[in-house]
Amino acid sequence: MSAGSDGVTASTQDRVVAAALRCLAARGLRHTTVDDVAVEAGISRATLYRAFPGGRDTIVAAVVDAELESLAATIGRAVAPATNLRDALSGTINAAAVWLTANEAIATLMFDEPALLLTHLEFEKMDRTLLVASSRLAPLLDRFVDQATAERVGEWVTRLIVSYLLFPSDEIDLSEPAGAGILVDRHVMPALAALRAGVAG
Amino acid sequence: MSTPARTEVRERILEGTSRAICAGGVRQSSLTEIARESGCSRATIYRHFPGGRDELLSALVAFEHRRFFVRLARAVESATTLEEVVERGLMVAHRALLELEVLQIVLREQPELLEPTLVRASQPTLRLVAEFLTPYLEAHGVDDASTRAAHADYLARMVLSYMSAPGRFDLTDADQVRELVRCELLAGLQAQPA
Repeated sequence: MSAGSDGVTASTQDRVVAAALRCLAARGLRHTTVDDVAVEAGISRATLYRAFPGGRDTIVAAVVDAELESLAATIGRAVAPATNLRDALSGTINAAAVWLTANEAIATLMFDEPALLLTHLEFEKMDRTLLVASSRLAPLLDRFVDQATAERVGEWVTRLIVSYLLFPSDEIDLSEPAGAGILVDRHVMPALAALRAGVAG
Repeated sequence: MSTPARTEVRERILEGTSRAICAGGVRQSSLTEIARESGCSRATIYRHFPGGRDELLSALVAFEHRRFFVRLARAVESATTLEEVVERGLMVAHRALLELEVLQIVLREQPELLEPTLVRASQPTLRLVAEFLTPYLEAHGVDDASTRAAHADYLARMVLSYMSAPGRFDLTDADQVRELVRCELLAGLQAQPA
C-alpha cells in the first residue's frame, strides 16, 4: 500500500498493531504503554504517533478490529468446506474455540483483567456483541437456512462459544471437533428441527 | 458479639449501602450517607468492613448476587414442570435484573466493581442453576444420570446467557419465552434418549 501524505504506510500501522498484540499477551492492557508498543515495534514514538495520531485508545481499537477480522477469517475458512448446516455449525464453534484458546492476549486479559472482556460478554454490551457476531455469522450459514434462521443460529452459536469461554467445562472441549459436534448434535440440530416444524408446545 | 447479630448488622450495612447508591450513585455514597441509610455508626461500619470502601462495595456485589438467586429460586420453586420452571425463571430473572436498581447504577458508573463477583461466582452460579434444574429434568423423564447432567449444564448455560443478555428475544413476552424455551432450550431433550 502506498504511503499517505504524512508518510505513514499501512505496513507501519500493521507493525504497531502486531506489536501491541504482543504487548497485550505479555502484560495485559493496564500495563501496556504507548512507549512499550513503540519499542516492541522497533519504531520511534514519533513514528508511532504519526501512524496513530489518536494514541493508545486508537491502537487498542485497531488491535480489536484486527483480531475480530482474524477470528472471522478463521471461522470462514473452517465453514467453507461444509456441505450441511450441522458441519457448518460444528466447524464455526470449533474454529472459534481453537482461535480463542490459542489467543495469548485473550488468555492474559481473562486472567489479569477479566472485567475488560467480561463487560462485553454480560448485560447490555453482550446484546451488542451478539448482534455483531450473529450478523457476521449469518452470511456463512445462509446457504443452508433462510436469513432469519441464519441470524438466530448465529446468535445461538455465539452464546455457546461465550458460555464455554466464561465457564470452561470438564466434560466438553469445544476446541476438539468432537466436543463442538456433541453440542450441535445434542442441542442445536434438534432445536432447529423443532423450529422448522413450528413446535412450541 | 454473637454470630447472628454480627451477620444481621452486616446485612443492614449492605442494604443501607444499596439504598445510598440508589439515592446518589456509587461515588457519591459517602460513609456518612451509608451510616445514615443503614442506621449504624461510622465506627460500626468500619469495624465490619476494615478494608474500607473497596471491601464494602465488593461485599455488596456478592450480597446482591446471592440475594438475587435466592429470590429467583423462591419465585420459581412452585413450578411443576421443566418448561414452566425455565420459562418462569427467565421472565422473573429478566424483570428482576432490570428492576435491580443498584445493579443498573453500578453497571453505568463502575462496572469494574462487578468483576470479582462475576469471576469468582461464575462457576458456582452455573453449578447452582444446573443443580436447581436437575430434579425438574428427572421429573421430565431424563432417567440417565449423565444425560441429565449434560442437559442440566447446557440449560444452565443458556439460562444464564439469556438472563444477562436477551439478544433478539423480548423476555417480557410470554409467547416469545415459550417458543425460546420449548424450541431452543428444550428441543434436544425430546430427541433423547441417545
